[in-house]
Amino acid sequence: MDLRVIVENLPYMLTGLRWTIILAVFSMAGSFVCGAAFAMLRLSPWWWVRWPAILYIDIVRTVPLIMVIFWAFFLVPVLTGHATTPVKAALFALILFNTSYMAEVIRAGIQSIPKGQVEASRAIGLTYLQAMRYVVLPQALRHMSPALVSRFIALFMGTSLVYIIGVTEFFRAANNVNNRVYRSYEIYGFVAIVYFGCCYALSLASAALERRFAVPDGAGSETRVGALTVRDRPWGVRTVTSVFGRVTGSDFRRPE
Amino acid sequence: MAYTFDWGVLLVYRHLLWQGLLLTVQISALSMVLSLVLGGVLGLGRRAEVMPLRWLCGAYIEFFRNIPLIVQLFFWYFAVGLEAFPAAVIGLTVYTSAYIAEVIRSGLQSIPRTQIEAARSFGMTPFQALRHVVLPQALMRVIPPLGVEFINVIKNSSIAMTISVTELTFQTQQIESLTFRGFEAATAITILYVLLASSIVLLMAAIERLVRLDLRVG
Repeated sequence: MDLRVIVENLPYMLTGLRWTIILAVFSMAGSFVCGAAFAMLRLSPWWWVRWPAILYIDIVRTVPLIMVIFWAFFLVPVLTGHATTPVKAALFALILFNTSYMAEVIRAGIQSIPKGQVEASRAIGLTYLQAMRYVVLPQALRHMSPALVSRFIALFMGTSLVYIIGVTEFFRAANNVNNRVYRSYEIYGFVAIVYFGCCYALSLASAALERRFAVPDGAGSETRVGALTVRDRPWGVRTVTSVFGRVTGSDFRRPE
Repeated sequence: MAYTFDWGVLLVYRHLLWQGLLLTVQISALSMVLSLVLGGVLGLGRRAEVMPLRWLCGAYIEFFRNIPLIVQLFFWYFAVGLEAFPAAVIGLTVYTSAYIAEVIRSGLQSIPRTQIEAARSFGMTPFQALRHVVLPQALMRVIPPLGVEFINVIKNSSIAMTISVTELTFQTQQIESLTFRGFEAATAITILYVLLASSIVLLMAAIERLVRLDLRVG
């Protein structure tokens, strides 16, 4: 154990950490906007709008992040004829990847608000957009806040993968140090502890939000099918209850 | 677009694709089985009566869930000094089992305590109550989220390329550097990943149907 290597190289590794945070924050913001757009598309009443969105969301979610980064850095320049910088490609890949997950989180958030509320808002004279802006979204945001923090944690950890295209974020910075001093135990141990500290603090925040904004049991839309009650609760959770009690659990993947 | 496609390279280098696919499937399948066992034990431990055991399992789950997989793989490969393949399987198993433990725990938690109490009052031992009352019902509930975790295993196995495991994503780079036909290779391999994930979805649906039939018969 030689902790001196860590102390000596701390400033360099912290510049890397700064890039990790920048990448995570900017790609979160970008994918929030794109994800909201895709959630709206997915909820569209027209199939020719809905299906491309579903296709994008479901395909990107089955592809590894490394492949997406690979696409963004090596293949998009071939098609467009312009070379990109690693940071731009990294941001592009992270947004492209995370948008598909965000779209699902946001869709579930919007669907957690009973339809009756929109109808009531329309009945008192709000336009559809006003109903969204003043009634649905403020509540939906609260419902999905724990899931948003979870996505941010995943994104924060995901930024470590852009090391393969040469962005000097925290993990690559630590690697550079290790290549010079060759102290694998200390360096990777330290990296693990830093990531753990950041992500665990965030996950505590997520849990606190969940307690604060816990959705009462009755929330979500409810449909009766014979003796069964199908209830779509927030975060894509669907419960089916019969007179004998609950029969199935959650299914995140099934639309609507 | 000044790029002309040449899909023939896929045929020429099909042995690389096949090799990569085989390795991805091997790593994923091994890690799925191992992390299901380890995750099951941890998930049960999380609900144990003994406090230190509960705490220990919780600590394991929180620790390994909150460290990026690539860091864990580098640790096993460079710091501990394992071979690439075992490092990938161990890293993936340790990481995934933390997620699976949470799935199992929430599955167990969804069974009301009163059912265990009722089973106990019938004269069942705690183990019998677990075996005949809790687990069959919990199993039904954990199948869909387990499917999601299994798909994640396949996706995450791609990170093993960074420690020189020659799986699918590694072969993309290999074909790219041999032929400059990265586009065609990446397309083919992306499609292979989508197919692998789809086969997991089908497999889990089949298992769900089987389990449901089994429950109906009693």
